[in-house]
Amino acid sequence: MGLTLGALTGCGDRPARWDASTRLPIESVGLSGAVAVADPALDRVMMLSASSELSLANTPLRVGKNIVAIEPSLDRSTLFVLSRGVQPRLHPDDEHPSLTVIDGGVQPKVTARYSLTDPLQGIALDPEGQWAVVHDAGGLVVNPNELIFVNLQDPSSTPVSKTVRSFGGRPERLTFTSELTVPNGPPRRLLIVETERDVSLIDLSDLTRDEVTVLLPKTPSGATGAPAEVAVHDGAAGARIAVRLENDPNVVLLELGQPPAGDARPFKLLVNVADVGGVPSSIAFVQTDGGLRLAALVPTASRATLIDPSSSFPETVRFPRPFSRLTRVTGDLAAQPAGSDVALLWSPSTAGIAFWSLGKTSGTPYRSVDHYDIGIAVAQVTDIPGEQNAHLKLLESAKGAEFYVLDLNQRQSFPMLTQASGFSLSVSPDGERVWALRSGTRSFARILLSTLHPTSLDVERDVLAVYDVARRDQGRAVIALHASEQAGETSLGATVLDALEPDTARSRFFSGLWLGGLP
Amino acid sequence: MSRWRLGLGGLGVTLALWSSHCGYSDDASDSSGSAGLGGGWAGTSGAAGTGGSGVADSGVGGGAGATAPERELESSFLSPIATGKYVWAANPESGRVALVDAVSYEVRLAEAGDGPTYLAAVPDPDGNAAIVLNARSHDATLFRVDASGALTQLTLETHRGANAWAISPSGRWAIAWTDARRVERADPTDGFQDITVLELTPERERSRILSVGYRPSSIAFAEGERRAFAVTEPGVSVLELEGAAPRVSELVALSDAPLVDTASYDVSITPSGAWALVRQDGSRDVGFVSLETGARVAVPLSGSVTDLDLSADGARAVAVVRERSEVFVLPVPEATTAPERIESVRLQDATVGSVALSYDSSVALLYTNAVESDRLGIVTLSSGPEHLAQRVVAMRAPVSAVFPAPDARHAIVLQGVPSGSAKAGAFSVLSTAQALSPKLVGTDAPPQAVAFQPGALSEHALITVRGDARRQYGVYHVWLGAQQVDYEPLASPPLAAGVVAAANKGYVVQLHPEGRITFIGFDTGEVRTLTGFELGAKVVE
Repeated sequence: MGLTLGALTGCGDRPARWDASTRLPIESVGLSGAVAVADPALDRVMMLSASSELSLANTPLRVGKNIVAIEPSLDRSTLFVLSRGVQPRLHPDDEHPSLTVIDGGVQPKVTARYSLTDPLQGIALDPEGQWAVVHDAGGLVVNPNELIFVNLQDPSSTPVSKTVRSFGGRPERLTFTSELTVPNGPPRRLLIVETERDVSLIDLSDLTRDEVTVLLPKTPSGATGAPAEVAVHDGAAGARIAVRLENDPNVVLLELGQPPAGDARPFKLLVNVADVGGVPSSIAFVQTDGGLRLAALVPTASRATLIDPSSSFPETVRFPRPFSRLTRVTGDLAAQPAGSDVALLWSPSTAGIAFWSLGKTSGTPYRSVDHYDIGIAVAQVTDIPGEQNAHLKLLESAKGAEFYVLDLNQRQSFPMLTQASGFSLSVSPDGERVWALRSGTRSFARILLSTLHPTSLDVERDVLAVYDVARRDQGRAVIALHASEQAGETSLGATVLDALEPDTARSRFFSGLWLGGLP
Repeated sequence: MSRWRLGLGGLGVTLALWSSHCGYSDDASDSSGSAGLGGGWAGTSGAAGTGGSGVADSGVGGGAGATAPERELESSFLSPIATGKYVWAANPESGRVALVDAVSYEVRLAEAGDGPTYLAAVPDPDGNAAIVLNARSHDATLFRVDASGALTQLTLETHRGANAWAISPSGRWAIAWTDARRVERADPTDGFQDITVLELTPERERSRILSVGYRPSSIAFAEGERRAFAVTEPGVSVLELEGAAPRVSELVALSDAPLVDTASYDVSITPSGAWALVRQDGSRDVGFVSLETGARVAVPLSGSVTDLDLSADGARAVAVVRERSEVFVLPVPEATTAPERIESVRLQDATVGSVALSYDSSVALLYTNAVESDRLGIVTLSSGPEHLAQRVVAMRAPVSAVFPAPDARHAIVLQGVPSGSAKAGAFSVLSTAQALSPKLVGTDAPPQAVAFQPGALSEHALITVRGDARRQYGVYHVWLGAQQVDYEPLASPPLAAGVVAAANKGYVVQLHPEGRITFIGFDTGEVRTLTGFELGAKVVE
């Protein structure tokens, strides 16, 4: 792919790499100090960074052959590039599959490269940065239940292969837990593997230990139960995991319980089932004044069910609207309630939001549900990184030409109108700004979260994406990517502005970025 | 969706306990009562005891004149099956039996036959054992868990249609029989006369199908387990268990007119197996029938006998004549030859027609539920200066049923509600040892089941409540000594309550398609619910 026939048969004037072309769509990722643009035609990633105002450094980094996935770490400090290598391998020199780790700071570089034995195409990243798990085989003969664990803390380590027991399913979703309390031994982290019909727990502190697999119950209609979502809680009383099932009013509750006396296992998994009275759309563990509860939203009944995980006893909370999603916001509040949570309720199919205070007063399982009738149905709630503006949330509409900035402390929402629909929002890593872009147009805008003041910007070329990155001089740059294709040739450029004081009159355009690093 | 059945075959355990028909299986799957496991405090195997209880609905019992008969509400209470630290649950659809460990909450599955349905606990000095009737494969599976936790099972043939168990106190014998009361629209030609006697001695397990009288209603074992008795409509069929093979030796008539339908007789058999005591509605006689000679002696009392309870040791019976509120204590069998040794006491300020005898027969609790009455009489039966002393207590709400605690120091009284009450039911915690005011608790759903902590000092009791119309379900944990009452709501309708003495926990079995049980720690008050037994056992490690 990407290599033209002319290049292969070449005239001998210049290396064939000059004629290789990465086609649209171009895959790019914003990192803390650079923008990564995949160039699969040349098995490299272009790292665009700014050293000072209006400057742009283009650092091409070689990665494995045949890129299949690029993923940033949660904090966007690191980029992971998964490559299939040469398949099939016909010569000893043919490249193995690999995982390349790239520092996404202001001076990008490859920090590690792990050679893999099999060409896998999925990658799950540990939000705490310790592990990457490569999975999802795509070869002729595949083992779909094989997981490759890469210890990111030790670049010299050899990835560990582990095949989870199969009961007819294959890994669909991987979730890394935080450190969980177990009855036997020190706290440890688990990897939760969801397949179409079961859930497995892998002890990340000892990958040689067999995983624990829970075969899920059948749905009321007799279909095989499939996991749809997991929720995890750790507390002084122990750790719990809840599994929401597709099209099933039952929620599976797992407890990391005490194993029998003399049993060296760290925990004995206890399984429970709780009926929440309707098919839930979202689950989360929440703290109430009455103790820990599993909250399950049942939008078809405009209510939530609070399940006591010990007794499975349900309590019902009625909502004014059929909210289907829940975001716990307790930690983002300036005045945090003691011993109980506050959750934000929203739905992509019904207008409005609500604050759900989960403290318990006499006779009710909750303190209040305060409904706010904003004009949009919320499709996504975006957190603001950093401490300064953590009390703000972006409420995005699926179709509308507006979004809201929600102030959790004041319980006020501020509408931001756009001229047309189809805008995408991104938040700067420092949590100070929001960038709104309608991809494929020349216009984008910056909204300062401290003042909610918008600044509209128009550049000379259509913008593919905008990224707010740190500069080497401690300032911040916004890099607007431009890409176009003509006669099968793709061109890549970028416009650089000062992110703190964006002014199109003080911007600089860089072209021919694909040519960076070519001899 | 698989459906679990938890010890639902245990109907009638409380009759065996509270009516003191010792060594006597009043009803289906009553291994617990006779074997002393399911009944817990009445058991013979010590710490392995577990409690049992059930649902109050219709009753039988005697009556006289125009007044409604007394209702034996206790007799219809369900009994979950528990042995040692395990609760056993059968799933007729999956063909499996689950063992729930009340200490670790671990669930193990064991394969049974086709349609395992009727479970019974089997006394086992070396471990835990239970037996289940497989309704569709017409056989029984015996499970044993040894001290190391290893589980074994063995299948034995039974007759078709068996739906009830009687287990001998030692666990050597099990008798599968068919309780006609559990068969809907039984044809009059269905005599249900087949029974299956199973010897459960390890390495000597065998089964033999025998035929007894028309429609047996209960099975009892004689002391020493050389004989067993099937109470049937024509009389008592005597089973000889010793010898090359069990056999039926004779049919002992219960009256001088054996052709009269005997279905309305209330029969108690002494643990020794020597005597059957018979009460009939409307009759003033207590009949003593020798099961060895067939001789019958009628002991007339002062009026129609409305209730008759036999003490656990079989040494005496207590009869009640409601029309005179008179209580008779009959020594067994001396009452037949020395009627002057019959004692009686007439209660003042109370109408009583039913008796609940404590396990040690030191206290008789007397009441009536044939008419609305809030009076409850306490008569001391133990020897000493207080012998036959009486105390009548106003319970403030009509009495439905009375359950003495195993230690005879307290009782739980289930009650209706007086007019003007907004409650759905009520119960009281009554001290029988001290003249304290009973503690009355109004409930938002009708009380359903009672279970006591077994042992010489019963400090805890569970009372379940169930209101289907308003979906109100819960369990009261009663600290008997302090008369403290704690309430725990339940997520689904309770079916039965019991106690796992080895774990010092109570449990409530609930109606749930996947099986649900809630454990309550007596010391800690910790509440733990397990749902989906088969799912719990499908954790693969």
